[in-house]
Amino acid sequence: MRMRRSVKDGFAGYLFLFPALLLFIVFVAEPLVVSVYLSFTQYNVITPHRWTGIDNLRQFWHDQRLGLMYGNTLKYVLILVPMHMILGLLLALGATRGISSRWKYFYRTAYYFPVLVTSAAVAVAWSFIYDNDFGVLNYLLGLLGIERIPWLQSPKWVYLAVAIYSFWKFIGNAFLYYVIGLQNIPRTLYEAAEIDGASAAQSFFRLTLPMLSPTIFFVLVTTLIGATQIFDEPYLITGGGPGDASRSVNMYIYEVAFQHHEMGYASLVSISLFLIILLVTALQFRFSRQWVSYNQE
Amino acid sequence: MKRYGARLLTDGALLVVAAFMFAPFLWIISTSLRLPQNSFDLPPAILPTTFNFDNYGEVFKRVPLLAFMLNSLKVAGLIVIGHVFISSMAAYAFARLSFPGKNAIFLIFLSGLMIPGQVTIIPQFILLSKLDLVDTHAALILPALINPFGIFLIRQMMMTISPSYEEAAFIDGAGRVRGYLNVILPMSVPVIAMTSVMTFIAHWNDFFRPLIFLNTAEKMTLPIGMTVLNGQFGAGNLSAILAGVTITLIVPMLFYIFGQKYLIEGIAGGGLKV
Amino acid sequence: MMRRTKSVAVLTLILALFASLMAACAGGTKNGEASASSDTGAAKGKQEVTIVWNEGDVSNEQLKVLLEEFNKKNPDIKVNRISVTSNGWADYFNKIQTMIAGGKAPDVIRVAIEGIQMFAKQDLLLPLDDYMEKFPDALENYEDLHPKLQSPFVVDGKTYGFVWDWNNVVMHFNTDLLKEAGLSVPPSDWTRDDFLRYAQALTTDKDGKKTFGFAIPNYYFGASAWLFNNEASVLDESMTSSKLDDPNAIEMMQFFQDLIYKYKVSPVPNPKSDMINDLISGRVAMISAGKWPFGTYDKTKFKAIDIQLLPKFKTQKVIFGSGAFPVLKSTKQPEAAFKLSAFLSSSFSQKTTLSNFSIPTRISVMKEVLPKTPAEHWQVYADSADIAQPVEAPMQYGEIEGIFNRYMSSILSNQMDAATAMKKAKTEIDAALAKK
Repeated sequence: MRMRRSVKDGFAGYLFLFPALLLFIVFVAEPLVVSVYLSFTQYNVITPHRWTGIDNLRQFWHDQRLGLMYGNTLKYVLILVPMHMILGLLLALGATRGISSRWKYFYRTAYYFPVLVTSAAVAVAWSFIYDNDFGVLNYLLGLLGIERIPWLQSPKWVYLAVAIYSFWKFIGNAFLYYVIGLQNIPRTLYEAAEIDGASAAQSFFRLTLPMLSPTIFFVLVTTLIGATQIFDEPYLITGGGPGDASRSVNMYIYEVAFQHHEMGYASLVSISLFLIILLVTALQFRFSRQWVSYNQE
Repeated sequence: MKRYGARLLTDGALLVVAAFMFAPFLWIISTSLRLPQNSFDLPPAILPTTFNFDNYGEVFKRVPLLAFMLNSLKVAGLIVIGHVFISSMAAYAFARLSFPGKNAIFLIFLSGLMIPGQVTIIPQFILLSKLDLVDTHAALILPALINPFGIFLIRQMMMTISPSYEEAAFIDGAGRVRGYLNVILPMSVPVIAMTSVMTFIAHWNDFFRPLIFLNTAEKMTLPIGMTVLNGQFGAGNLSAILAGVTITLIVPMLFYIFGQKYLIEGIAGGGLKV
Repeated sequence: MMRRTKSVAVLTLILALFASLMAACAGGTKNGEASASSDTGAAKGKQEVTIVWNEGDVSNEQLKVLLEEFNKKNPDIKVNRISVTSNGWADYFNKIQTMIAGGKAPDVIRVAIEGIQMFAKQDLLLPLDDYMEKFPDALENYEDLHPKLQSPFVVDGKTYGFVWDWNNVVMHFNTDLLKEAGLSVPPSDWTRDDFLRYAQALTTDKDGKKTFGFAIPNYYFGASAWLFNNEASVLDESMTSSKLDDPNAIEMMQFFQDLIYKYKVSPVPNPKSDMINDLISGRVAMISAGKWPFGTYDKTKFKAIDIQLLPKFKTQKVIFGSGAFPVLKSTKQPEAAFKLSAFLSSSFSQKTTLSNFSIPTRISVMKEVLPKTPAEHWQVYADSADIAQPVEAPMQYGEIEGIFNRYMSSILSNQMDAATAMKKAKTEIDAALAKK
């Protein structure tokens, strides 16, 4: 009886899985293998590909621009990840205090709505907001007596420009995850802590943070992967400039693959980025055991 | 007293941030109502002072914005429909059926989450071009139908459903398919709604893939269409560009009003308890 | 057992639903395509030809007029138009290459001088000489095409297209702002010092409304025109190595940088801003561009405009870029494609399409159309065809444009001085040129 049920299940299981499995093989697994293969070839899509061995690897080691791109991407990670993690949490803490549900709705709308709007559309607007001589932002700063800031024309300020835009556009993601995480912490725990005479700071560090750790971990992993792969924001607002100052690895891959049509080398660069993401994510999971507690509730 | 001060400070900070979030929208809308030649005049328009709706007509004359939106709607909509079935079927298999190799396949699926889009996009481009699908909407839809994250979240939800519900149906003579369609699928609606909302937003706003896969103007989705509006072939005035931007805000607005409930319920309803 | 069969049946149904869903989305787009590129019509003696020609170049109304005329002589050829969205020439050619790679090659493409080598040297184009002999009637008087403007489309002795439009780079003045500054349009032989004087006089800050004297052309074609006037260029004559490290080139680029940071007469270019708009709205008083802004002037009913040659530095030259409609080698309808390509260079075509965005290339049409230009010194356009030099565009144009623009951006944002940037640009361009 038991046996028959499982055999039947197996049949149904594969049938249920079939569409997803097929798509997975065609659009994820096979491309990954092909990508590795392409890394050893020269291929421009129009003429047949040519096996070039480790030529691409050699180019990789000597590619000065790529080094710069990795440096830029690291800057994005170091700026954007802490920003979203910390500011998102602060906003969420503020918006889940004992305030009326109408205010909660207001804050949630204000912070989350930009996440939904079309990046390409609002980024166009932001690039005008940042205009050096005629932009709104510099005008407002001027009223405060602050000199015009070359937002998009200086290799330093351009990162702040992307960060401000990123905050405006995407802080809602982290914010929402934190809000929900915070709401899932049972109120009774706080009440118990209060009876035990814990101060606000104590209950925050001893109760809120540990209870929130799975959410924090989730936000960390997703923002980190997102920042490592950053493309839309610099592409739309800075165009990677001035010069190469704000160009990310992902923009470089796009340039090499789809503008210079060097699919082989672009594949190699993309694999290198993949390996780095894999390594970082694996490390995060490894260390997460020390601070993420799942044994709640 | 100290409490009160801290509270005031927090409220103040939250309001400042909220104002910062709203300000660009106000500027966009107000400037879109200015006369083109005044679009850059200082002081900038934070509140609308003139109401010149001609820019809106101008946008539709210059670029087929409505067609762009319909294209986006078609692409994102079909992906969501596909996602609802394909992901939930796979999730059902993983959550409620036992078959050889299940765990291995599940792990492989999950690891698919780690593969960044730009690794697979080059081979996908080559594959789709061999299939003559580059510059069609199918090139955007087909690869997007596999959504490991969605499968994962729906599976989590389905695993929490007590087996007794389905067994009751089996006693009534239902098979696995009816069990899936009549029992498990309806009970998973909250999480499926959430993943659908997330999927829709992601593909409605997707910029990278259409940038690579689409060439001809008539097939453009909204995000690429917006760069055309601002681009050299569109050449327009800022007010008209921002009128276009304003129009694009309508769909997300509707989406927020009707969709946020599912999004929040879905995430809160256990989806994120990784 | 019964139950199982039923399950399978229902599941199969669901799968079938998907299959049809996917087919529908693939098919839906395919259907749209069918009217565009299939050759079903061929069976009935009707040939279909697809052309890539953007709506920005030719509106639907203009195209309709054109094709009606074309079909009078060629009733059996049905022409379909595809518009391609792109950011600049390099990106546009790129998209067409993508279409070819993706198995969706059109038959005829609008190509400017910037892309002709790229397509011809990759052996993607059909030489048209045989067809010219075979169908002498298809092409209107070849001699009337300005020989200098036509020359880029003859590569290694083979004709790949017939020139349709051209453009150069001249100075555009907002004449209202000139008047306010008590200036008039300078004579054609004005110099670097005159230019600087104008730029300084035109830079004003009145009641919070800032006006800059001049907007720097931060793109390949526009900047090349200024380099030419300082006896410099991006590439050497054989287009095999870069000359950007030449002192003259560095001097010109340094001058651009100085216009922003030393003389403060130019705004730092915003990657997204539109100079034509800035000129119309009075945010800058002078821009350098070709004929194309007149399209925008016309649309916005902007009248306060006049033009003059670019100022003389070490010399005074004029740059040109021209465009034609080559036929792709992969076409299944070479004769029909040739006929269309030839027709599009005709007087009728040029008169219909080239009113303000571009300049006609037929000597006869130029004489007729140019005097209608709403600018007092329109003669500047007419005179410069004979003395103009082509923009440098080897096969690797796309990559070179990218490198040049990138380093120009570094200079204009004051990240690097001109000498450092131009030396680095040369190294990268040389590497790009060495690639096959």
